Amino acid sequence: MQVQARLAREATIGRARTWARRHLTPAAFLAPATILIVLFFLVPVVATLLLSLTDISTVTFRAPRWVGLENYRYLFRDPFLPRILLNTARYVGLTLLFNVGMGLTLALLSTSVRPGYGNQVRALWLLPRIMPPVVYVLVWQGLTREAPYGLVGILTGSSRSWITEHPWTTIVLANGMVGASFGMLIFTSAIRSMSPELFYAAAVDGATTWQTVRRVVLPLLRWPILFVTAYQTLSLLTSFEYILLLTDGGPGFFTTTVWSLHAYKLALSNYYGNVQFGLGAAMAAVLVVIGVVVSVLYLRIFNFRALIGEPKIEVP
Amino acid sequence: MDHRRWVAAVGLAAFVLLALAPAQAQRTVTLVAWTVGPDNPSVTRFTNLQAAVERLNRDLQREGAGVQVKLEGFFDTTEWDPYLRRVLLAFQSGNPPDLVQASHPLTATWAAAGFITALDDLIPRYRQFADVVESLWDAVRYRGKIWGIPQDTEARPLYFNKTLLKQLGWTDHQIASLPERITKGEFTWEDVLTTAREAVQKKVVESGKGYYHRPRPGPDFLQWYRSFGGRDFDAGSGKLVFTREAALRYFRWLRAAVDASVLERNRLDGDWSRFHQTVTDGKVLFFSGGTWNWAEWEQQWVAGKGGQDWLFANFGFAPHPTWRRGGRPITLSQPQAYMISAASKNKPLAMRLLAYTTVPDLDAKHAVGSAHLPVLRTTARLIRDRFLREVSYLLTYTTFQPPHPDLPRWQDALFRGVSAVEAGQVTPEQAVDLVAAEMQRAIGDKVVIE
Amino acid sequence: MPLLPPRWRLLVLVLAVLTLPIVTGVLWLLLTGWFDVVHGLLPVGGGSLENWRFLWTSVGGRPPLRIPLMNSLIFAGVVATLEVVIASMAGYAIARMAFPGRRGLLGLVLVLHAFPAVSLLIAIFYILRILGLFDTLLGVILVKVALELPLGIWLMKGFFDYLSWEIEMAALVDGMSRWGVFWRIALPMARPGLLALGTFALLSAWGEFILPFTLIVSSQRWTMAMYMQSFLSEAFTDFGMMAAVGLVYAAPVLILFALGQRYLLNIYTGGVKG
Repeated sequence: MQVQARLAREATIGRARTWARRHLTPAAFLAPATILIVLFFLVPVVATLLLSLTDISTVTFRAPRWVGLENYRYLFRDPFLPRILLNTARYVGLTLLFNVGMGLTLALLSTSVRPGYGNQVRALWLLPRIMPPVVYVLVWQGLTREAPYGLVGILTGSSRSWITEHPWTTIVLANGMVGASFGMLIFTSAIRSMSPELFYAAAVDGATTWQTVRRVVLPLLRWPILFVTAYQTLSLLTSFEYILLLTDGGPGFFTTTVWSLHAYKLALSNYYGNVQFGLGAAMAAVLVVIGVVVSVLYLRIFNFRALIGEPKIEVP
Repeated sequence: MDHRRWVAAVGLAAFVLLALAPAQAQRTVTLVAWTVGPDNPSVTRFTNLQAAVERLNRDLQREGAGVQVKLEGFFDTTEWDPYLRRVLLAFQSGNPPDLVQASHPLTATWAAAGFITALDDLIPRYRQFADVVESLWDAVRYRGKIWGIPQDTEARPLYFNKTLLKQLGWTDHQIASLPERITKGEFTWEDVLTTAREAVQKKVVESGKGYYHRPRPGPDFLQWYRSFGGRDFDAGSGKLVFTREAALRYFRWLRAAVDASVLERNRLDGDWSRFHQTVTDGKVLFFSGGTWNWAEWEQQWVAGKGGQDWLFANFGFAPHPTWRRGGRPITLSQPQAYMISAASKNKPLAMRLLAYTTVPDLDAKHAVGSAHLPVLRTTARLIRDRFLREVSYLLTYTTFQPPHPDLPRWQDALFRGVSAVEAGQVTPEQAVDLVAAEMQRAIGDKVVIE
Repeated sequence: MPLLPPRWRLLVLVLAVLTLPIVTGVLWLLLTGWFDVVHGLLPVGGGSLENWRFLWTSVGGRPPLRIPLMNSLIFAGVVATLEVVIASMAGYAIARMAFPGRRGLLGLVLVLHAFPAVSLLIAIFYILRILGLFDTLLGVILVKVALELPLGIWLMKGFFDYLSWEIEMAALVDGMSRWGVFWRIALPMARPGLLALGTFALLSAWGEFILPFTLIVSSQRWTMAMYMQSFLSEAFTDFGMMAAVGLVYAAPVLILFALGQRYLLNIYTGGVKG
């Protein structure tokens, strides 16, 4: 009897241990990450959607009301909305063009010279990315001042700041010089991983360097280019840090105001002290929905299953 | 048994000691005050509070009140948007500062939101407040109650560069009498435009530097709209008003100024430093600013080339002209006010501190140091400063912004119009429609379009 | 490319021209910080320590430099530590353990990795307020760690996948706990990965602007980015002093760059996102 009971108990403990191994241990390892992701990713997604259905603003903060889709209707009646959409498209499009173009140029050029030089150049292009954004913007502000103070002013002989005169050029260049290194590094490692035989074969065929690049390298870079483009489209769509610091959306009310900046300002920043959280949340909600849909889509395109893989687990 | 009693006795003694201890020690109350310039010289908005705390503490000590005040907080020199964001977020986080300084129209917005406290009951306790210029109380009144203590006031003049006018061929007498001609309504906005156009054509100033106005949103646009005959508030109905006709005149003037290369099409570049740099480099003919700019220029921008002397030699000032001959010129005052937050746990003490701050010597110190105008009648008589003496007549023509919680949205809409017209993205006519539509969209039936 | 083009020296020249703006920028920062007035890249007038007075006085109502400096050190240090620890725990679990919902979790991590977190800022403000963490360094730290976790987990999972399983297996058979294996065997082997993620997190947190700018209001809790921005947005922009502040703020980054640019190049190539 006693033996049987002990065996049964041990079996129970054994099952419990197995259960613990299967559930509790992973749970313990995952708990901190899960809590943070739930708190600051999942809850905010829901909160953004909920907030967008209220009329919360400075005046109504204490007693917000549900207004249904009123914020969205209000948003689409904004006569300035087309302008903001256009700005957003311009910002994303031009910056992307610069990022990918410059990234590709730098990758191709820096892999076509002695590795020492190539590494040096690539390292220097990392600087804008690792510099604190506020310091990076200070350098832009200083260099673009009017004559006789700023270098650009002196070179162009302009008596206005270049940021004021050419806000779009400045924004695209400032963002682009930060973003170009992303593509540059990805393209470089793609080029490096190409089989040397391809290049020797091309050389034997008497191809010039340019022909080799066009016929051999570029086709092989198709996927990396697509990846960089896709990835940066999404992050550019929602980024506004450098615009905020460089032009604050100006000159004027909307010259360089993009969707995400407008949402931020509506919700959190207004000279006259009246901010509209609900409305800002509605604009942000649009971005959130786009973000979720597009990132899921990307995973499908960039082969989700291959990325996941099976874990290496112990055989009990 | 004995043992237990002993424990009880010790416990009781400890309890009594603990209870008595705070009564014997000084209690320190921390008051938090947030203040803002953003102009650097206005730092007295905070340092005056610090000075007042010292005086208050001395009196508290003498009275044996057992309380000492400790002041925390800061003076912000960045911009209004981030400052107001900080204040707003603090109000909403439920742990706001006890005292907040901001422009007077915000008393209406924040009172409506329930963030600040009405002060009517506390004001009569302190005789200091009886000395405050009467009209300033109107600026902090909303729905019949007073929500703030006036901190300073100012005027927003039209400055002109005397040196450039002279280069343009004006005689000394013509230059000296310009303010008078403006106040009499003989020199109008049209004449500003004509003169500046001439200066640009004769290359006295570079293209676009005939007239400068502020680079960011601000109450000044309301002032200029008014100077073209616009109404913004109907006291009878308590509603905001938008006068299409006046806005059209204002927008057409802006358009003409841009077309004539008098005004830059991207004047609203958001950057004050570029405004001040160009103006104090002596490159701009007419420029709208505030009295406090004078102190900024003196202490920061032209400190190296003569300060006040340079300014008096080169710059003149007048109220903003009217749009039609014989009309009355205008300036706008935007008094600053200290407000007490509704969540403050030390309202009476905060109020007493404000009474100690609202005294002639501190008032004068701030006025002279930052080129604002004083709030006390006594101070106005005491001040010897040349600029303040010469500029204070502008107050005869001064106006305030109306007390309406939706005023910020009204101003936002007007600013959008100005911005679009200057950039050449819409015609003045279209801009008026846009602004009217935007006001109706944002404020609804609380604005009357006329 | 394995074969150098015949005129590769010409390409070096092209690269130099393309890279010139970056070098110019650094040069401008150095010159402007050390000289009174700089026009273009030309110092006008002498050098002085006037630009550096923020080191010993508090400028224009700002807190003294040590406060934002300390806050930034705490912020970057704690963010990097938490990120590395939490991400490697989660990355290890995903790489080495079978549990229900593993695929879903990994899918979520990948989606979030691409998802632009800035768009959640407005809602995050609300959540911090509810948690009572608004306007606290801790609050911003947690947000920053959370927003970078998807990337960190993904990276660390990759590193653990790469490690040989046999050693860990042997330890498990010897009766060591999962936690022990993770802590004493897997983590030491993944040291290069920890260092890479740590460096990346440190740099990213050190430069972080928009989160503290939005979620912190008291100047006692300013980070260097906010301190610096307060100069940038002021009406009187003293470029000399701003450049000096910028040099102090960027010093750790510049030093790291000078000493370890090859290393930086490697970790940024190693799949860390931009």
